[in-house]
Amino acid sequence: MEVLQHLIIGFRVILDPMNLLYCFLGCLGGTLVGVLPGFGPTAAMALLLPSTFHLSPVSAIIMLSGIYYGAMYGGSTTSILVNIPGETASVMTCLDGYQMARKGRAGPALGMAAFGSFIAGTIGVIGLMLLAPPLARFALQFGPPEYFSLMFLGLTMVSYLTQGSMIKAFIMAALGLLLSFIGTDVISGVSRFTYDFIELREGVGIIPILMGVFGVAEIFSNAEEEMGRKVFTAEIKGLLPTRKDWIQSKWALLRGSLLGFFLGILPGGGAAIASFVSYAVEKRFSKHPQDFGTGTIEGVAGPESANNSATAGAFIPLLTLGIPGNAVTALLLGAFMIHGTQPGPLMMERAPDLFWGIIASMYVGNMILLVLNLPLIGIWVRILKVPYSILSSLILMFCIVGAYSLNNSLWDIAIMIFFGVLGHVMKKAGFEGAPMILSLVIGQMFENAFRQSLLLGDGSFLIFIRRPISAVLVIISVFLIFTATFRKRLPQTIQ
Amino acid sequence: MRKMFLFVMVVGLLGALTSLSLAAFPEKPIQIINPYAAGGETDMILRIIANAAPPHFGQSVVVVNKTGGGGSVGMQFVAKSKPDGYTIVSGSLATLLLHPLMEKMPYSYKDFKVIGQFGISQIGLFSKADAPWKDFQGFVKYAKEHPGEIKYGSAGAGTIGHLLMESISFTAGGLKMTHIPFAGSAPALTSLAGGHIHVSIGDVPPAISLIEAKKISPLVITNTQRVKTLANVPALPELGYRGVDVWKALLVHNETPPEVVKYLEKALEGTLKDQNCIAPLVKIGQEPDFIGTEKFTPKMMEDDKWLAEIVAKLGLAKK
Amino acid sequence: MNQHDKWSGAIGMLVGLAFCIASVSLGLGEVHQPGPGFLPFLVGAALLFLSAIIFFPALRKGKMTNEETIARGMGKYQKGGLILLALVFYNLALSFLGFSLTTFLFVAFLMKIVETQRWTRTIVTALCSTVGFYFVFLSWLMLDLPTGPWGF
Repeated sequence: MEVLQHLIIGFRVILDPMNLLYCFLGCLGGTLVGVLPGFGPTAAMALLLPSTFHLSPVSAIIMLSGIYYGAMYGGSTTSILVNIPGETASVMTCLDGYQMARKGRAGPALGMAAFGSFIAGTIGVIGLMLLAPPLARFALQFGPPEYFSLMFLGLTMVSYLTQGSMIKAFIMAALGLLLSFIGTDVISGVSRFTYDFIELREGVGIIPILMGVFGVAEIFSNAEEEMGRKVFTAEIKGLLPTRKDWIQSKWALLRGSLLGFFLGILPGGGAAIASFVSYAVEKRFSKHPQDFGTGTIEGVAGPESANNSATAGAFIPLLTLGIPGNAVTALLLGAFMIHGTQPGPLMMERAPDLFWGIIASMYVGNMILLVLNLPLIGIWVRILKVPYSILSSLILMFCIVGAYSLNNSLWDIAIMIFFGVLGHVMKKAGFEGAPMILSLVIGQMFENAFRQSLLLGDGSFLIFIRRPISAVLVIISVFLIFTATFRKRLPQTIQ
Repeated sequence: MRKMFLFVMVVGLLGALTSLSLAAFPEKPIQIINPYAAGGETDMILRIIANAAPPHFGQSVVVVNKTGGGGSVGMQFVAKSKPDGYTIVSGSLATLLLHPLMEKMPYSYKDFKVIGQFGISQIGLFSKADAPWKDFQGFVKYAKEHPGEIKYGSAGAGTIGHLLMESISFTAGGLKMTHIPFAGSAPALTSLAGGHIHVSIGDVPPAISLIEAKKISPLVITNTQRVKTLANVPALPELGYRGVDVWKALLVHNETPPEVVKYLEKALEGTLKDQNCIAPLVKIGQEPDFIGTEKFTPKMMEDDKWLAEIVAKLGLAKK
Repeated sequence: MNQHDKWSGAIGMLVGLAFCIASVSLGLGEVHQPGPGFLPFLVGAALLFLSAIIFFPALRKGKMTNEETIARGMGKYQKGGLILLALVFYNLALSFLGFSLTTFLFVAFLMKIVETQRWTRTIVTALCSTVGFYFVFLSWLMLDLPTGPWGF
């Protein structure tokens, strides 16, 4: 097979000791930065980018890819340990991962996250390797109507993200949508709901909201709970996933990997949406959906696989078409250009060793990360033993600095504090953060796609049905809504 | 006699002091505020300039990112900073002139003095691959004959691309096209490559690989001159339309002493002529393009006039 | 839950209504050509409606249950309030006092007042963490944190 020959070229590149070293350094650096609460792949790459300037193109890109992957791995660590997502893609891991940590099962959670990420990452790279060009062509078929239908499908998942009242979940989703509307409107050019605050022109920052609603709010809750101390000193039960965990998670891993990969291919799609959908899917297909949110292993395995294979998927439009699908791949594109290469369809011909070297480095990177992270689990778990009085101050400090470093602005710290209070108060009233985050992430894309589609279709709503992909997605969404409502009304009906 | 002596002393002292303060600038490192994110196009250019700057500026030059508000936070920061010449901001046609025209901003171009232009963004109009027109003139003809059919993409309503497209439309006698705004250049290009829109106006660098893949084709460059990376593509002025150079310039606080501004201008010019600056810039596909304050200011005022006109015509002016 | 539902319902309705009103001034456009206020209006209305579903039943149920009366004691909100105070302090003081000093005071405050630790533990933790953060954030990551009037 021709592919095998190409792979051999690639492996020869990556197994060069210098490149191997840079891959390792990238993974290490990315993990360390990603572990800091509030710092995700984008931050990690922006911070570590300058250190790659003087390297050769191949080494530089390999190192940066390592940073990307490493940061994704690292982000799940803080989600599980202290309920602070480093990126929107890690939010779902907080739901069940943190609950597992509270029960003393941080080790298995971290382990499953690591293994899941490895398996998914590997599946993703294989997919990338074998199917890149046709998948890229498929991705290009997604125009505004398809994105709208996809986002609509995503929004229907809201109901699966909550443990409590459905109505309250919808209220949070509505709130998230409204928040996403704040800022300069892309379609009309006017500023919406910004009231002369120039900081709001680009919208309310998602990351400060995340850190507030999940991280800071948690600190407030613990401050009010007299029993709070007990939770963190719960006996650490084992460091790795048990056999039972593996059996329970096997479908989650598979579904998550596939879902993540395909969603990651779509420019603008991305790891976050993949992780939301994966969580919802796992809950939907689970035999014990009511346990989700209390610390189920599938709730960690699914989203973690999804966000890692989405990372691999995001490379497809970048490498085959030169189109960056998200902020991270945009940075990578910039790095390519600094080193004088244009990624794109001709890259495979013009610079095969670069192209296949990157692909091979992703295999190697995944392995390095697994080997790197497993022993670290023991250390991370020990961090939970630090007295809570000290730990809470440290957590808050990391959050503050993380928020500040986004824009070097005090404004983001203020947003985080505000949403910390809000998130805490809302939790007490029975409103959960996840639905709000989902719609916040999806909101702008959803509205933009809606209005763009109407403009494309000259005002006609038929455009959503006339185009095949969009029609399929709409039908699936309607079907899901239908079955969800009727499931409740007629529980005795056999599905 | 005594008085005369005292007088000469004082004048001499003052003279010495002023020349001392001139010689003393710059005493500490100079900051260039980048209102855009680290790792982006402008960021890379600024860091290359900062790297080659010390021999010309006489001090080290540091790039500091102050992002937020689509570039306005950084601009506001410098507009309110000390006018001593140590805090420079990288402004553009968009942040300095366009945004204040469309929205209430905490600054306007009057709050700044221009040190000098250092570069120009390359923007072009691209068409999807299988189109019924072969070049720009063909496209305009088609648009005229099929009113309402053409859907064009841009990086958003109120962006320079949008304004340019409307300007082209006006000049061509009023083309009826539907504007499809996207959240940035990249999504618009992606949609174009997928054939969902007919043409799109946006940055040149990201389009190059798609052009090579024959997924899109370039129709015209909207700058006033052709660009090296697409040397075969004509520029708008060649075809009888108004081209616009979306410039990037270094700005300082309005009240900075004129000698300091002059010093910075010369330093910038020197840096942009330095091989240590030119070579890395060319490697990333950029061309250094220096214009000093004198030549630049009238150009800037003309741009402002044109912008105000178009913005008003489109109903986007601030209320 | 009832008391909470009354309040959250009421606030939800207000927020929804506010967005609806603000959206109208932005311009609703029409269904086939939605303006900037179109979707915000719809979502605001949905919020209003959904919050009403929570609010009115809670209003009817009225009286607080026993557990809520007990929970009403202000005592347990004190810690949270102090933490909030510390956070706000940090936000306001950071640009004046600089990173190191503000961090030191912040951590010390949390340790001493909120967590009621002994002075030695407080000072040591505050000192060590400040130094640690300095190295991680300023030396290694080279973040652009404000340094106070004394340069650190």
